[in-house]
Amino acid sequence: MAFDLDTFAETSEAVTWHDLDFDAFEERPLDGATLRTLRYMCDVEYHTSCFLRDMLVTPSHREEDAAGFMTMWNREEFWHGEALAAVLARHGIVVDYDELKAKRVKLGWRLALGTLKQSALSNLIGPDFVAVHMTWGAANELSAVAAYRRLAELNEHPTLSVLLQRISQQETRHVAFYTTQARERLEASTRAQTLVRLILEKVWKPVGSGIMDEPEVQHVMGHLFGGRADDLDKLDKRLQRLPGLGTVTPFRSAFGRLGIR
Amino acid sequence: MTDAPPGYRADGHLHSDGSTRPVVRTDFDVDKYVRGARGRIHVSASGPVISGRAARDLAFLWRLEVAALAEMRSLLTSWTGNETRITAFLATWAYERYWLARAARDLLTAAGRPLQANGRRPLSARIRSYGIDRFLPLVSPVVGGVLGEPLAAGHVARMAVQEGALRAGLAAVRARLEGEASDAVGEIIARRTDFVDFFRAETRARVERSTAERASAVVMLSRPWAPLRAVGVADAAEVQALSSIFDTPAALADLEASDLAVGAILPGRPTPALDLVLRARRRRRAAPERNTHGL
Repeated sequence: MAFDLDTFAETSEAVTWHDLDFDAFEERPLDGATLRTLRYMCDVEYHTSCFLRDMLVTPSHREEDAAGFMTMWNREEFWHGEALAAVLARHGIVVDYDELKAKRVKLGWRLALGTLKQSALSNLIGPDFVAVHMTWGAANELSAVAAYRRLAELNEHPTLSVLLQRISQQETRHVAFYTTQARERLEASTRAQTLVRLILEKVWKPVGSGIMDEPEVQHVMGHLFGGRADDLDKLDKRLQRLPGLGTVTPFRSAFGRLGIR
Repeated sequence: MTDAPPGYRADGHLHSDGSTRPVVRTDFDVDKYVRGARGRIHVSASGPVISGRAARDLAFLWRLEVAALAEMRSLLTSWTGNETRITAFLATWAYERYWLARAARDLLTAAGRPLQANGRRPLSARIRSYGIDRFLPLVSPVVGGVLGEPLAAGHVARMAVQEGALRAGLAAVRARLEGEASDAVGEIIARRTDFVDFFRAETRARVERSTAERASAVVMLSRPWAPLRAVGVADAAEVQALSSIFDTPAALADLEASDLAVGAILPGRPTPALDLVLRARRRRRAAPERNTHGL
């Protein structure tokens, strides 16, 4: 699916949930494992501004399409956080401004140095670094879509599953942007292809790994994808369609390193 | 709490344990603002008529309008990125700024007027731009980590001055527009009121609560930074544009009032936007042979 910024911007909207019956959570509350996964997802969505920051320190912020996309994407992800926080609130879990600030502050130098590292690498590697970013983004968004769909399927909840499908539908548009951008840049540079292959295989980790502790990443990814090797293979195959990436298996590799097979 | 995951306290919190200062809360209702986000301002493809001078001035303001993400980057790469009520606001602010910039661009395009200035930016601006692009992201997170929360007061003070100055500039240009162009710029001005109100309220709340935050605001509003620039970097047509936009006593008074909405609560009563415009007017008077906007 090619990406059209004008159409994307015109149709960008906050995910809605006010038409859904949240009283269903009283009748059928979510279990602890689901709540833990939802909290992970909620945090990742709300901390999109941190991922945005990392993208803004690379050359991509100067490109009109990328800048327009990032603006819309940041807002859409914020609303994903709001929606998931509303579900968590129904279960007595508070994710408000102070809670989120406390998390970011506790990440402390890890967040700050992450930005510094992105900027330094970007300066060192040059424009090819944007290909890394776009492919990384594609991998993240693909895993987000898969995660939301998997959680919806695991619960078959009349309210939660509908909400998660709505969120995953918006995420598929993000996938379109990242894969379109990645394809263009990889087609244009064999150096970028080599770089991206190396980074995907050796460095990429599931979405949220930059801000969540590893035990949490392991737990959530295990909950969603434990024993689902076929799902991981499908995700790898999506990335393998990109130029020069025909042999990569970042999902199998990264999940394997977490002990999830 | 229903079958809560591990680590939660009885009040439903996981991370917020009193060790982190709560977010600043003001009378500005961020929740209401983000729910009411405003999108595209429609401009007809063949409608607006804009004179040469008004178009050049509007194009200058458009070049500032379109720099929202660059401004956001400055905030996010430092401590201010931890302030979740601010980043919540910024997510919608950037979206609205995108559409404000789009409206200005559509107006100029429909009127057959250019968007970019002729000529190059001054060498000092090009050097500053390079530094902000390449080195600020390396330095800012470290400085933010060391100085901490008081830095946010400086950032929001800058944004308050910048948004106020942009509004004053647009109002001055609007006085020279008619019909659809006037209406569209009027809408841009109206929407900007929320930006101004948020950043001013945020600034006031922070500078009134500590000396460190007052000092942060004073330092960050000082030169070499200046408003009416994209992240403090001068436009190629800055001297001509600012002299043209703020060419009446009323426009200057409006700009001064905007600056003082923040300046009046700070030591020294800084008026950075007014100062920049007065410097531009002096330079313009000193170089009368140069054509308007480098043409």
